[in-house]
Amino acid sequence: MTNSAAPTLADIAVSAEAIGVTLLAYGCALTVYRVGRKSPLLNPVLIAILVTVGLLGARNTSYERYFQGAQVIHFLLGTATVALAVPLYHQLQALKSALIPISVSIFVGSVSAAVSSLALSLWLGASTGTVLSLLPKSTTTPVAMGIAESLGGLPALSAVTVIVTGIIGAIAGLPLLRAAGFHDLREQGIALGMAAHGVGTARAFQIDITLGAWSGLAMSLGAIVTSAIAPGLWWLAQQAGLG
Amino acid sequence: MSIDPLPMLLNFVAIILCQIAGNSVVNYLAIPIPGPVIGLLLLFTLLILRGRVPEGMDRVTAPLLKHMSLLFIPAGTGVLMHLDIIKNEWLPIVAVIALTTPLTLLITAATLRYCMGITDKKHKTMPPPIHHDK
Repeated sequence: MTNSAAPTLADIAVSAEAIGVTLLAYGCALTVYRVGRKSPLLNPVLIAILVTVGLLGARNTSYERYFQGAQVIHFLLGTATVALAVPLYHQLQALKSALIPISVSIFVGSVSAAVSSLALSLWLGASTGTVLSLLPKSTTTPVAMGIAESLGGLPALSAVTVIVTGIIGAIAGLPLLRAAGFHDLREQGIALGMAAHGVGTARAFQIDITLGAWSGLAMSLGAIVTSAIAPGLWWLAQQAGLG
Repeated sequence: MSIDPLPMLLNFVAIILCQIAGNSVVNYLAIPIPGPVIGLLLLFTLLILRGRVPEGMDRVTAPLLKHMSLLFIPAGTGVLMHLDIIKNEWLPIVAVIALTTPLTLLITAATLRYCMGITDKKHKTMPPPIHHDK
């Protein structure tokens, strides 16, 4: 914590350490991901977090000190979320081609993702922090963290549940959809982006550009719709005496 | 072909201003919606009004989005603070993820099929998946 206007040398040292640790962990994670032929199991975020935890442990640095130093990187996460508007704009043609069906699907998908997760986690007796961290798990990580935080959940826990959800969706999504008879690329793409956000979209782009485009569209719209409905759903659960 | 840094800088500033505006709106109205999502909607609206992506904006957003994984690390590492929760509640966490993710996939795909009237008459209309990786 610093109260002075100008950063002191100590602040700069804290930032340099935190940023260095983060970049090193990211470099390790990308290398593992590439060597592992981009398997969804080797999700770079998950590996980078594990490496960062290891490095902080080895250097005996507390999480508070690390996060303080890495604030610039954390701020840019919000910037990158805003930047999602650009790929969404590039999908404007696809969106216009089926505005009503896409909107309805994303709305139904967002409600079913949030309600099923809310109902099941409450029924299984999870604590409030866990319930709220699981609720936005089908949205892209920065938005899920934002939703969890604004509802009083645990952003870091939601980051991990989001990534695990994405990995499961990316691995099992297409086989499941095909087995259920969904062979249209638009159906598969919308479902993958809705349920498995960025990880599912990355997987989709590996397979086909149309699949990836529809998946990216569903990811962006799903994040917006879930942000809008999550507070209301949580309020309803509380009124019902569940939360 | 030299890259003019000024449009890139202006676009970066524009995106940051959308982010700050989004955060301000959320704080001012005290609504439980993430500020960056409001910023995303603001930027999306501006792009629609403008009718195209301004020159230099893709060069700003592409690296941000490409390296988004890097930006998750500081917040994600905060899971260190919640190891006890994961230890105590791993069963509901795993069950919720494993059961509701397939459900969401199927409901979303089924809704789109219903709304678009997609008929799954023959599989041969779909090309086999092409694997670009490797």
